Amino acid sequence: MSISPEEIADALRKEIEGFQSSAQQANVGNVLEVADGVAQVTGISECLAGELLEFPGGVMGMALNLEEDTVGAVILGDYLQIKEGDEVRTTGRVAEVPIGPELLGRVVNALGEPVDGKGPINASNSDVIEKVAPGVVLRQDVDTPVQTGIKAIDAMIPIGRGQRELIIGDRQIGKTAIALDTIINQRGGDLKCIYCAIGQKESAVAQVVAVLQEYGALEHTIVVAATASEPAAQQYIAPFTACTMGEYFRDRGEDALVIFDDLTKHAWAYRQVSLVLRRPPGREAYPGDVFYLHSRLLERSARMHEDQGGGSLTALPIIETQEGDVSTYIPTNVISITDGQIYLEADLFNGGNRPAVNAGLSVSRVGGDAQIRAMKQVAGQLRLGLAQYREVAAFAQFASDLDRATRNQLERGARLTELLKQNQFVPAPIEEQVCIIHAGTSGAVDGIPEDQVGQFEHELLGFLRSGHAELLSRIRETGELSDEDLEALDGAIADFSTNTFSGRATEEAT
Amino acid sequence: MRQGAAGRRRRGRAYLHAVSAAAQREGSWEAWEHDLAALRAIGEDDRVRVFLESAVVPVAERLSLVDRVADASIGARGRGLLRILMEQRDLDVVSEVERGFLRIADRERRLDRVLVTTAVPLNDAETDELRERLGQPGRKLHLTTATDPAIMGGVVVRRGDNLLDLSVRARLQSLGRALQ
Repeated sequence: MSISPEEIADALRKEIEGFQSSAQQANVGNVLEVADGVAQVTGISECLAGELLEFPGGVMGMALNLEEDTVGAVILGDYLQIKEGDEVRTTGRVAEVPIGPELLGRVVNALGEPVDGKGPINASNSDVIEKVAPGVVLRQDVDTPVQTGIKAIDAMIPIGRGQRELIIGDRQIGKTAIALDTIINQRGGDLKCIYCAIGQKESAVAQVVAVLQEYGALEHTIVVAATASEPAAQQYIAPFTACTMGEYFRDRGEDALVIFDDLTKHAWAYRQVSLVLRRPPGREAYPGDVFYLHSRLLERSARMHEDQGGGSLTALPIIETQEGDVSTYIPTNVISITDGQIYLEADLFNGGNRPAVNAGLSVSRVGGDAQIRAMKQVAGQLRLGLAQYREVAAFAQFASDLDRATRNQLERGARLTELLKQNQFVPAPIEEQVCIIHAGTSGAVDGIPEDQVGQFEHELLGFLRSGHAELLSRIRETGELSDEDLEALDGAIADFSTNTFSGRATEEAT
Repeated sequence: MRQGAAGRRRRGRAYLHAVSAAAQREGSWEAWEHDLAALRAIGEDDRVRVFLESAVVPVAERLSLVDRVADASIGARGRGLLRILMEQRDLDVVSEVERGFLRIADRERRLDRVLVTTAVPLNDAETDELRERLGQPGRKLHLTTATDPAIMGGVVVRRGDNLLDLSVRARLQSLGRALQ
């Protein structure tokens, strides 16, 4: 079917007839100087803090510094178009972005404009990017888990809905991988995800989008990208944009997860903007309010009270360290703001322990309340076993003659570590995690050579899925491991170990 | 230029405070306005400024040259300011000082500076009508008119920092945005 020119003309005429033009009144000023993405503007005496300013050619800016006779504004578009003397108008609006379910499955920039070439986004709502976090009476305790699908995390560092859990570690050791696995694990679930890339390479963002697409996880995800080539001002507002998009779901009683990848580069971008605005530099040349920058952002993730709809916004900020040093300015700041951290270590990663989570240094300060009962039951043993293993492993390196108890602890620990290894993009359902960890802590893997633990896990899962599907589904639905189920699980594992497992048993077992 | 624009503004602020305090004390807003305009004309020319700030020529000689050129158009206060600016090599801040001074002076004198832009020149009757409409009781009005064919029609009124855009161009632009 083709559209006739008359129809187009008709539609246009209707639009024009319905058009109401009002006199445009604005507070105006002139650009005094422009450099490095920041303009100093004289005039605009009635400008508000954070107000959007319109430069010629439709380029927008945001007023950040209000001084006696000038206004310092960051330019959110192409600042090379702006010249000294250009007219600047106030808009009476603060920075806003489109929000709503229409954004799911899309890639947008820091201003909420689509950058994925899939056409315009017809979002019906918009909201301001800087909002105050909900107060005390509007919140309630974290009590529902976010299942990341990663055994090491769901078992030992559980994350609750509404929590802020930091992912921290050196470059290239799987920080983004944890975030992506978590997003992928929400397929078919009720958790909406927002992935905010700050200061990353375009190629890295493209790769993330491709992975999400490949694993069918883009439908419930919004990607907010402020890449390295975009102005520092956009990198500065991008996490706030992502947070506002997540708050839409939170405030409607739904659950959302927002990932800031990463806040180190966000702090860099803010440092650049601040220095060009001539704000005084402090430690490591960051401005004095860089703590407040991150604290007000992360405070916005919350578990809302039932009366408020009971929605939640979970935040997974990512921080990149240099050589594992967490004592520099930005890492210490964000560690103190968040409710715990997942600490990734380069040595573990290089030693083949992937995900390279350091179980000793990682904590979740509120997530324990959110863990399902069945997992809590089996994970206590796991944490204990690994802690003992760490203790004796350091000591065992120097000792040749070890007593039997110590040797057992070493063997158990090594196998538990093997069990926690997991490939990328294969998130495990929580009920399977419970069974695997129980197999580990109950000693069922003790007789199996270390290099066959992975195979054991794989085959055990196949065995359980085919022969004991109702047990798995009961754990999933009730979230509990009753005494009968525990017995049934023990029986199934024993049956599998003796009869089905194709691997070779060690000398001890024979 | 020794510093960037920010440094110039900072240096200019001290002069601005001194000049406006003096004008306030004596009520000599008009005289200062006139002198600052003359000083700006001098300070804007790079070659003149280099000469005036030169340490090679004695101050008295440089000042007498200004007197010969500017004749009696700069008052005694203006000459005093010029002398300090020359000695401090701060002649480049004059335009900042003048801009700030006008802002303060207008506020003190209750003077509204209004710029009306039209697409075609206004005749006297129209200008008088505008003057009558734009004037506010108890305030003086300083009306400037300009023509800019690019606005196509209507008027654009700018009073201080406030702009009222009643032009055809603005209406077309907002129609264009609405159709997008």
